[in-house]
Amino acid sequence: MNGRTRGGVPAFAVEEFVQALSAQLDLAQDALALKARTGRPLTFALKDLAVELKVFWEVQPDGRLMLRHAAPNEAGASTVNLGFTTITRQMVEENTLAMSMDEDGRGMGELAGPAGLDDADRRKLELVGVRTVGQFRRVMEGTDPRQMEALLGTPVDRLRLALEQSSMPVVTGHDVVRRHDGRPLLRIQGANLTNGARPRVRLQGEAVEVIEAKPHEVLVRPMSHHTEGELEVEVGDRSATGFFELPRTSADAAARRPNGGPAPHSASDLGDGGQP
Amino acid sequence: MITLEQMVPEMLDTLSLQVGDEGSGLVVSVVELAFDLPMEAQIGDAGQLLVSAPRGRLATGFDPQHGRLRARFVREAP
Repeated sequence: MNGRTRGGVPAFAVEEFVQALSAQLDLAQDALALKARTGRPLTFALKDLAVELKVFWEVQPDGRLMLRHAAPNEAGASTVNLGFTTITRQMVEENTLAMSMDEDGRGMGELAGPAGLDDADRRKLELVGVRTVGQFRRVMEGTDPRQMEALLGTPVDRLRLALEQSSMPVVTGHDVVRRHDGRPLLRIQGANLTNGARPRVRLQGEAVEVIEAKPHEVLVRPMSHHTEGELEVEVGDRSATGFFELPRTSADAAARRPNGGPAPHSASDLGDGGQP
Repeated sequence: MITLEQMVPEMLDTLSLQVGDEGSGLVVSVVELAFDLPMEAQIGDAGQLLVSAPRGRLATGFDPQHGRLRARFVREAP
C-alpha cells in the first residue's frame, strides 16, 4: 500500500518497492533471454545490478518505514543503495522458510477478536517474521509468553488467548474429490482438524467414515443420501462446524423434478464443491 | 522516463559487442560488460522504478536529483 505525500510524490513501503524492483529485474532477464532467441551471436545475462537513489524516509504512525524519491531541488535527501545479484535456485531454497503443508497457513487476522490481537500486535509480530498462525504457534510453543510480552509489548493475556484461539479446530471450506470408482468423497479444509487421533465427522447430523485426517484437511465418505447441510468435525472435546454441498447425481435430480422433465444442469455442472 | 526493465536491455544495444569477422580469422568479442551511469530515477505509481539518462544540456534547473545505476552483464553460451 502506498500513500501520497509531498506534492503528489508517492511513498512506498520498502518491502513493496524491493518486490516491485525484483519483479522488474525478472522482466529484464526475460527480455535478455528473448533477445538471445532471435538468433543473436552473443547473449548476455545480467549478473549484478546496483541502484543508488535519492530518497526521503518517512515513518508511518503504525511504525512502517516508507520511502519516496526526492523531488527536484529538495535538499537533504538520503542516498539508498540497493544491490541485486544473481542467485541460484539452491540458494533461494536454503534461505526461504520451509512451508510445511501441515502448518497452519491462516493469516494472523484470524486471531483477531475483542480480546485477541489487534492491528498493532499483528504489526509487531510481523516485524519479527510472524505472519501466519502456524508461525505464531511455532514461536509461542517454545517460549514463555512473558518473554514475548517483554519483547513485543503485547500483554501476556492477549498472547495466551491468541495461542488458545490458534489451536481451536476450524473449518474453512470443502471440495469434492472422486475416487476411481466414481463415488464422491468430501475433503474438508481447515485447521487443527486432528490432534493425532482420528476426528469424528458428522454430515447432516450423521457420523460418516473418516478416510484420512491431517491437521489442515479431512477426507470423509458421505452416504448416498447426503447432498447438503451442516458438517461438524469433532476433535477431542472441541468441534468446528461448517456447511457442505455435494454434486447431485442425475437420478437424484430427476427424482426432484416434477414429471421427470429435462435436467436444467448436469451433475458435472455443479463442479467440485463450492464454499459453504 | 522508462521502466528499469526497458532500460537494461537497451544498455546492451548501445555498444558493439563483437568486432571482426570469422572469415578473416579474427574476432574480438566482449565477455563482460559493466556500466556505471548517473541517472534520474523515480518511483512510479505502482512502485516500479522509472529511470532516465540525465538531461545534460536540456536540464531545466528543476530536474530530479541524480542517482546511479551500476549493472554488470556476463556473456553466456547461446
